[in-house]
Amino acid sequence: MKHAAGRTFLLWLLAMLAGAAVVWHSHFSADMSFFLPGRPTAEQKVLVDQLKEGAVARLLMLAIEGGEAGQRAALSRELRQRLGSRPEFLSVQNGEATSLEADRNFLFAHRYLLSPAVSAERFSRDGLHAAIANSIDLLASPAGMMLKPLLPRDPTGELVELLSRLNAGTQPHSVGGVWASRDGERAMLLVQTRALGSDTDGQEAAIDEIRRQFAESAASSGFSDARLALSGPGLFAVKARATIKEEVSRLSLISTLAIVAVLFFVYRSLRLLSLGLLPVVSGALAGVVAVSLVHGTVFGITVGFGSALIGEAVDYSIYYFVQSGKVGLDQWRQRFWPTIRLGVLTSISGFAALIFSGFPGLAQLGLYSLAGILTAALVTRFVLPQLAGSQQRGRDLSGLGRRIASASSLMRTSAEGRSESRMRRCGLKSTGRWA
Amino acid sequence: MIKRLLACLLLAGCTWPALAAFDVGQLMDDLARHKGGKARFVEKKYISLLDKPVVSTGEMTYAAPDRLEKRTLTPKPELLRLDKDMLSIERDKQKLTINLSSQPEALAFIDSIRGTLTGNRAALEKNYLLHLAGTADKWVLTLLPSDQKIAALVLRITIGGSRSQIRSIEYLQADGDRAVMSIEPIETR
Repeated sequence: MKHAAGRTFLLWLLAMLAGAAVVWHSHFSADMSFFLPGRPTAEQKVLVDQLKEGAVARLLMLAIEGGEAGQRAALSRELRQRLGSRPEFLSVQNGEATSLEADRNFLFAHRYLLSPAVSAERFSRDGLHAAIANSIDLLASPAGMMLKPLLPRDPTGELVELLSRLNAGTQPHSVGGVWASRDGERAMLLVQTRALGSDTDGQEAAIDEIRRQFAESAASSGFSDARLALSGPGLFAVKARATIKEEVSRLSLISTLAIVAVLFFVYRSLRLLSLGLLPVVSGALAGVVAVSLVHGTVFGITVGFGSALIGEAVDYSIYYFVQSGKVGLDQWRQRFWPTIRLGVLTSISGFAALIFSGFPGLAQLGLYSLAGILTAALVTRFVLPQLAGSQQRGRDLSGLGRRIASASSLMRTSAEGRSESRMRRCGLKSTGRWA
Repeated sequence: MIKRLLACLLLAGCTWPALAAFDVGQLMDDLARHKGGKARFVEKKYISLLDKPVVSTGEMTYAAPDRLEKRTLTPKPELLRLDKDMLSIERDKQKLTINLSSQPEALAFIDSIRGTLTGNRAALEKNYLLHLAGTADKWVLTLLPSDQKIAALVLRITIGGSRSQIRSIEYLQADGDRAVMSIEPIETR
């Protein structure tokens, strides 16, 4: 028996160490592709691609406040220069003429590919005549003065066609040669990050870089009361993640403490307490290992939700300690294990359905819970009894149970019935003293 | 001999009053008294690339001090409206609005017309050197850009008129192309 216990423990320890090694090399991801379909239709793919890589998802809006209009404009120029030279940013726009030149040159260079007016008819005799006549008519307009230098290279006016579709009607307000808010009190910049919109880590790094460069340029220009306001999908993602992280860690800390406190109150032994948590901890580790090995990447949300789902594994060790103490290990295996096994099997069937979900997040959640529950049950069945030995004693809760029962009998009958059945399920009232 | 004397007299008759009695200040006073009106215009743009000038016609409305509307009717309808520093252009159901205060070059260009219409000498002298010739009944005001950035676009603006009425504006562009606009007031009663 002693020998077998040592061997089982060694096996378990080896499995745990191997699992920890896999987890150590796992790639964890915290982006929102958790919520996106794994095999999307063409339409969904466009949406998913836009969410991940689209220009809007990578856009950050910056506003500089405080000081004089001149100071803000100077800081806007300085910031654009600093950010423009950083590899984290694809483009930095603040309305300066030079900042638009690259875009204009790009459009002009690709005018025949991009112009919506290009067709076979446009380059027929009549089509060319009409297009060129239109270009010449346009020269009569004040706008023609800007277009005249382009006419020899673009006689059919493709750039005009292209720009007229892009034109939003008004130009952004600008003060001191750079974009400003409508009331002129803020200098505005648009920044496109190299990091994808779905890459929250990359967005966070880009935002930190912007704040750092802003602080440096404000300090170097002696503009001490300058303030930076930021907005954009990347910032929302970073903030949402920070909020989720903060709440999840706070809530799970509270619930873990509560579970540990209750178990410690009952078991009155640190050893029993850690043994009691053994199945669920083993299960959580096994869940991460399974997801990491199958999917390659583990979503942070999988671990968060999954741990809640396999939380029921805490009960397995409770059943074992409470019930085997009374009837002995062999009796427990005969009389109570089948009940737990049934519960485990129903949970596994439920979670297995999730594995076939089209959403990678749900599939991971199913696999995590399935592996977790299965491992927790196996650890309870084969490892826990070997490690726990036979002399577990728990606190007698029958007094507390009776007090709750009598308090509940004062309530309505239906409420009493519910609480009675709950007591019974917990094995508190029916078993009397446990040991 | 008599011919020569006549020529001399004629010349004196032309230049003397201009030098003695008509200067930029007076012209500006005359122009400032003009409170607005409506006119027909014909604009011809001579462009080196084209063998014929591009002609456009339409109507202009001016209301002192800062509202100007240029409604082109041919070859393509277009409405250009200037209200203080907001310039808007409407063409083919499309509208473009530009805030001139952020476009110093465009503002200088607009000020050549607006400054002349309102008789605002200070606004004109901010960007141009002024030269006036002729009499109050037939004057020619020449604007030469003093700013390098504007001179890179326009070499010379020549404005002709009689009394407080502008009759023609000619832009000579830096690339040698020019635009000539003749203005015919419509009497409104």
